[in-house]
Amino acid sequence: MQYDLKDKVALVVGAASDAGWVISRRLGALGAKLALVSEDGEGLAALAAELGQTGPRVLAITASPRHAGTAATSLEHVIGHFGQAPDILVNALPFPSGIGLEGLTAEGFAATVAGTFGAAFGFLREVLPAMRRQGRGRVINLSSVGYLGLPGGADIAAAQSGIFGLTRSLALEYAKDRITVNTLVLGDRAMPDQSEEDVARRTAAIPVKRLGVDDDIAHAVGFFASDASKYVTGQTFFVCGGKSAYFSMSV
Amino acid sequence: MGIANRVALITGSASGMGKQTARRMAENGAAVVINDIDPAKVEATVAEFRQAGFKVTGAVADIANREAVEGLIGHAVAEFGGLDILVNNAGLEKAGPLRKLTDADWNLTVNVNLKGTFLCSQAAHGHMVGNKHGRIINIASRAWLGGAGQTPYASAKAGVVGMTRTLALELGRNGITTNCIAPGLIHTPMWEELPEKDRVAMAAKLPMGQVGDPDDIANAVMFLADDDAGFINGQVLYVCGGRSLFAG
Repeated sequence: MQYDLKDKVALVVGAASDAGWVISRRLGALGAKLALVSEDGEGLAALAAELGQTGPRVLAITASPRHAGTAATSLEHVIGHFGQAPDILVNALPFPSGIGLEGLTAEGFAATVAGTFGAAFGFLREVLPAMRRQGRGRVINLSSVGYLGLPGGADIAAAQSGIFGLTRSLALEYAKDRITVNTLVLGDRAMPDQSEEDVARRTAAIPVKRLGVDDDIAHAVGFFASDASKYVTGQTFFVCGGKSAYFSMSV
Repeated sequence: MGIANRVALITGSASGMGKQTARRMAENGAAVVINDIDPAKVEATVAEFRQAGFKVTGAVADIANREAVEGLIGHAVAEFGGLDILVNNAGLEKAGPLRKLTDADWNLTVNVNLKGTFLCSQAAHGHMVGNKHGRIINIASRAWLGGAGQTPYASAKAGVVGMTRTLALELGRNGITTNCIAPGLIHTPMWEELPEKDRVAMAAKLPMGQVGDPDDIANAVMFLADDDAGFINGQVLYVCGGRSLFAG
């Protein structure tokens, strides 16, 4: 199914992350104009080059989403460049690896929360009112299967449970404004640095017996970013090969 | 990507959401099998779809009946050479307060919604296993979360959710994904039969202030049926405008 995003403005936060890259590429391919935010200036430049240079259709913003103020200035840049607020916001900040409780400090816990949940909140706080004034919007918050609660990942589960709550609350708050807010939870994916052992172990735990690939994420983002999903909001939807069905948190 | 050249059976597709789903799937290149318990409705829908140039066949079957279901699946495979997508859409509701419900209300609701989904999935899945590719899409309902006056329906639809997750775990290794859609209030002929003041009052209480339309369901089905949806498995996709979050 080819989703039509012709000339929609999409703001991707954490665009130079693995998932952010895949998502930016697909949104661009579906016709969207792109505003890409990342603290990784080199990664952003490489992504923009792949997408066909910065210019009228691609705006690259090198800034840390963790910093207060980045969301407001990013929104200003988007409006200045494209003449409108975003139609689509994707919070695609990278997920840290989990740490067992006894290796976790209060500072480390706070950093995980601030870097994922806090940064996502910052962009939601700026962009949703602008979408409301515009009378339309699609918000996709990314999460990972760590949300379900895995041993050695209490900090991630906590931060991503925060995103789950934000999604539901904001979906209800903005439902009458033709804005949908959903969370997309990404399962185990094939990554270049995985050992054969690691791949085998992860694959065995997935009902469809394979790891996720780029097209899996891109397909889901296309649906949730488009008019095809206009009556879907407040949902936490997994792209995980069925692994989430082993957990009670997934229904 | 897409569903072009796939064979899709949609139960209960001679009217309402099922018919719109079948139409959209046919527009996107799938060969569709129309099914209903009413022969006249099946004939009329098949004729309409043929006129539109779609690849279509029809089969009358009561999906709560094992032999009828085996005939239905057999017809689909004979006609189109295989079966890739099964949309378990046929359903009905017998509502009422607990004290008034009869065995007939319970049996009919559970047989069509839950047993029908079981029988069709069982009969169809072997063809999908053989092909190492399949999509089973069950139409559950937001009502599985509970609604006063809906004991048989909520129970049957909750069963559909449990079946969906089970089949996802059991059949995933064969390239078959199983997911369900949980529609909220959708503009269908059943909705139009309600008195206008009831429709206005109910819509006003919804988070979006309006009901969905059959295309919202059709789009969700096509999202899950897509060749690129092979990593989506065991999910409940609520298409309800946020009513699953709060239905008070």
